[in-house]
Amino acid sequence: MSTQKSSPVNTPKNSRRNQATLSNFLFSIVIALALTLMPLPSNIEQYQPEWLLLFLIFWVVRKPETYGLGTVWILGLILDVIRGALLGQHALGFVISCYLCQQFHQRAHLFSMPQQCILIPLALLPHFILSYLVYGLLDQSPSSWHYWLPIISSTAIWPIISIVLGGWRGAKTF
Amino acid sequence: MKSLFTLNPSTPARLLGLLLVSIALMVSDHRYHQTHFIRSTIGGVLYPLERLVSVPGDISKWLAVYFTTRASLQSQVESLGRLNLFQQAKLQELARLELENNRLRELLDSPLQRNKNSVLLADIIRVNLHPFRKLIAIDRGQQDRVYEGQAIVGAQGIIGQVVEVFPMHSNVLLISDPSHALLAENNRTGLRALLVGSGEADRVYLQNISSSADIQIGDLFQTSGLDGLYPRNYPVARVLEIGRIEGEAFLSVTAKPLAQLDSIREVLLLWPEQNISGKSQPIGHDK
Repeated sequence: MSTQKSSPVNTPKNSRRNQATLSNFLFSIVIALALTLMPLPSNIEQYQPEWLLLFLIFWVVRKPETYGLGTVWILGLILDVIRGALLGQHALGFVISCYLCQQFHQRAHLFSMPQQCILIPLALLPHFILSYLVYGLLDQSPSSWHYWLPIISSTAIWPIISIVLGGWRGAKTF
Repeated sequence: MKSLFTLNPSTPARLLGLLLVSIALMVSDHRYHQTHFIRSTIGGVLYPLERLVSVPGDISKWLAVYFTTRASLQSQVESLGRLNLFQQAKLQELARLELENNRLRELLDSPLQRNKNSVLLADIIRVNLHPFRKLIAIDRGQQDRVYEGQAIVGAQGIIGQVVEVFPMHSNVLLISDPSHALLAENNRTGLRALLVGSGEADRVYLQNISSSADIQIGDLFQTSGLDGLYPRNYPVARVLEIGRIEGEAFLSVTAKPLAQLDSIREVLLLWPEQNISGKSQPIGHDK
C-alpha cells in the first residue's frame, strides 16, 4: 500500500495516485471476493465475515469522492449472484450500510480503533436486518440465530482489514 | 483541483434511486424471472476466480491421493474389485427382471415404461454458497445442457435439483434445504408424503402423513415422479423417528437422507428420456 503515498517529486501526482488507488481498490475487491468464495470447513463456515461489505466500507469512507454508492451497488449485485440470493438483496443492504458510513467520512478518521469497533456492527446491522426481512418475505427465514454471527466475526476482523488496507487514520493524509 | 465542498457525492436522492432499483430488481427476479441474463453474465465472469480459489483444496486432495500408501491402495483395489463382482451379479439379475417386467407390462397392455435416464458426472466445486441455505455449485453448466429443475443424484440417493444455470457451472439446491420439497412415496406401502428439508444435512421432515397411516421406522421413501421434477423410484430417505402427538391429525416424521449430503464430492446429473428430444446424451460420459 506504500504506492498510495506518492512522493512530491512526481509531477502528474494526482493522476498517478488515482491510478495507484484504483488498482489497489480493484485488487482488494478481488481479494474480498476470493475470501467470500473460499471453501471453508462447515463448522467455521457460519463465522465467515461479510468480507466484501467491510472492504467497501473501508473504501467508501477513505475515498468518498471516488467510490460512491453506485460501485457499492454493483458489487452487492455480484455478491447476490455468488450467494444465489435474490438479485438486489445484498445490493440493497450494502447501499444503506455504506451510505451511513459515508455520512461519517469526515469524522471517521477521528475515531479510535475501539470506537470504530463499536460503529462497525451498527453500520452492518441495517444490511443484516434488511436481508433478514427479504428472506422472511420469501419464506426462507434463517432458522437459527447463527444468521447474526457474521456481524460479530466481521467486527473482530475489522481492525486487521483496516490496518492491512492502509489504516483508517491514514485517511487524514488525503 | 476539487473543492472540499464537492466531497459528498452520495445525496439522499441517489440513495433513494438505488434503493428503488434494488427493489424493482428483486421483484422482477422473484416474480417474473427476467434477470437470467444478468445472473449468468456475472456468474460466468466470476467462474475463473471461483476455480482459482478452490485450487488449494484441489491440491491437498491430489496430495492426499498421491501419498496414499501402497498397502491401502491395494486393499482399496481389492475391495472395489469384490464390490464390482457383486454388482455385476446384481446387474445380471436386474437385466433379467427388466425383461420380465417389460413382458408382464406388455401382457397387461400397460403404457408405463421403465424410464431410461442419461447421466453425466459432475464435480462439486463449492459447498458453502450461502451461510444458511443448502446450495452447492457443480462444474456443469449451459454448455453441458444442464437445465433448471434438473434432478441431481448421488450413489446412495437423490441429492437435489438445479436452481440456477451459468455458462460453465450451476447451483444445486439440496433436499435438506428448508425451502426444498418433493413428493416422496413409501416403497413398502405406496403412501405419499411431502418431503421437506430441515436445514440440517442429516434430517428431512415428512409432512401430511395422517396419524392412522401405516408407517414404520426404517421405511424407505423414494421419489414418486408426481412432482414433475424428479424421475420415479429413486431412493431419498429412510424414516428415523415417528412422533405421535395426542390430538394432532398428522404425524411428525423425521427421516434421514440416504445420500451423505455434507460429504459428497461427485454427483450425477439426470436427463429423463422425454427431455432429451432426439439428441442422445452419452451414458456415463465424463470430461
